[in-house]
Amino acid sequence: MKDHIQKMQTGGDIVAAITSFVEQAKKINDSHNYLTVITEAQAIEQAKIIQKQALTKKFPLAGLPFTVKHGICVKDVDTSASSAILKGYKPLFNATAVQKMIDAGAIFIGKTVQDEFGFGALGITQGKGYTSPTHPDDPELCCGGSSSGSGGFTKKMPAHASLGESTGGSIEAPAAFCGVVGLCPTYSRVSRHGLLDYGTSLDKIGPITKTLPEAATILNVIAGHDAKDETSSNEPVPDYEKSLGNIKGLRIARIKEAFTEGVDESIKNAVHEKLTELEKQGATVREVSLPLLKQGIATYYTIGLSEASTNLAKYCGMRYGQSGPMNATFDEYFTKIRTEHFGEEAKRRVLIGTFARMAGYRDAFYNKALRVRTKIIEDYKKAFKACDVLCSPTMPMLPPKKTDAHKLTPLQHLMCDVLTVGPNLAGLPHVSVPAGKAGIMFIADHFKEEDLFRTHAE
Amino acid sequence: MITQDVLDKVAKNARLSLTKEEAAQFLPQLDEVLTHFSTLKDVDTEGVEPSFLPVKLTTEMREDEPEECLTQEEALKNAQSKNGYIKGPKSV
Repeated sequence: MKDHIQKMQTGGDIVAAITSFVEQAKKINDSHNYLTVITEAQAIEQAKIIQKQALTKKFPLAGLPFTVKHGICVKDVDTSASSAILKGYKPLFNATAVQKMIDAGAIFIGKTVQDEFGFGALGITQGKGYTSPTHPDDPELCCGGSSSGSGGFTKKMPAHASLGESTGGSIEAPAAFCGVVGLCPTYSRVSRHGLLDYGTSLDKIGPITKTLPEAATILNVIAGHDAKDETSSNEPVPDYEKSLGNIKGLRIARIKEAFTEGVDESIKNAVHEKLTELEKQGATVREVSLPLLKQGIATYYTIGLSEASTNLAKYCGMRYGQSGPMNATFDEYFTKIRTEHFGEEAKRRVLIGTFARMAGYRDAFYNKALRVRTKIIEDYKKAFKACDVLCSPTMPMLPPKKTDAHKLTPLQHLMCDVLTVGPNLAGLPHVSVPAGKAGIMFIADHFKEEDLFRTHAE
Repeated sequence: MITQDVLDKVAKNARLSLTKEEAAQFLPQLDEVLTHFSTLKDVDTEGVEPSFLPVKLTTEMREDEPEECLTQEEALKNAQSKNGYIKGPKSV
């Protein structure tokens, strides 16, 4: 990616490069189903504009092709979060993160398939009418979810970055399964303006790239305050590339509970090997216990699905997406549209979230989970007094076969997120980096993304 | 944890109509999930404040001055519309 950008910054033919990347993207997509749409004509037009402007201006991402998760708004391009209920919805504006990529000279080339509204850890629960993407190395395996297309496509493309989104692990899981880097920034670090919500207090947009330095380059572009997102942070944005590889003296703590029986032995070994390597380069490694993490799944999903069930209430066949003949009462009409177009997993999750917020259950579920979340955040804060980054495997298992994944019960499917829900609940920045055939996850304190980049070993 | 009657009420509130087969499939699945979620009761949260957001944020209000916004035509672009309004089903 770095070489490509440098070439494009110094007189390279951006139009020819983008034309060739689009051809490659089409070929990859024919066999792997990573993209819901390839915007060839739009990409070449944009390449011509940047080509001209690059004569007088240095773009940080000159001519870099990028893709965007299906649920992030791109002006005039189908943005349906891979759900039938929104099929055909074309936003009137770009999400702020997308606009920042475009302003930096990157060229948008297509939308990546995802689990419907982000509802899936494995990449097998797209909405009606969408196809599950194929793992880059083995067509029988899952890509991980929910930013599945972003993970697989990034692995296959030579120079490229994708904007993914994580609510409880949707950037990290596909990164770990597909062998790429997935970075989820601090909650509020990157504007959520133009993101179709799953869980308002949990959603984060972040880059999926081949390497950690590439993630730093993209985060430099997309981070920062945005008046269009009331939860966007005013914290100053440092130059993340400067902390890359500054490993000497980095205090790493292994999370004891993340190396238990349920985690694949080969993954534990890969993570230990990576930590040994970092120790040799000057980091220190110790162990820390975060016992409340065993409540992570219950806490995360109670909050996440409560929020999702309210956020998805707006999909009722009126303002955008699917509609139909309005010859019934509003209750009948909304019920008909939602029943017809939501997929099975979306229905199940909306039901769970609705239950957790209902009178009679709200105190025991939703309100309780918000308080447990406070305790989990406090536990992390305590841990960061004695270390700079926490570390665990990203996923407890290697990519499963799709045929096996479909046999999981809904609870077993939710449990796949057991290691990623913690930092997502606490809004902590974290990154999944390849370690052998698995992913190793580093977690830093709020707004300390720089500590994640320090783990980069040359 | 959850009975058929409660599931019917939840589905009605969520504006979803479940077939008999779907209800029969969802009921034990939801029961398993919610039974797991109910283990939250084991955590002592006496005197603990809820966290609606994971980080403390200070919302700054902008000046109350008109800014550019979507035109009516644009705002209606993704919806069924009539006479410049979004069309909806009968409410009474």
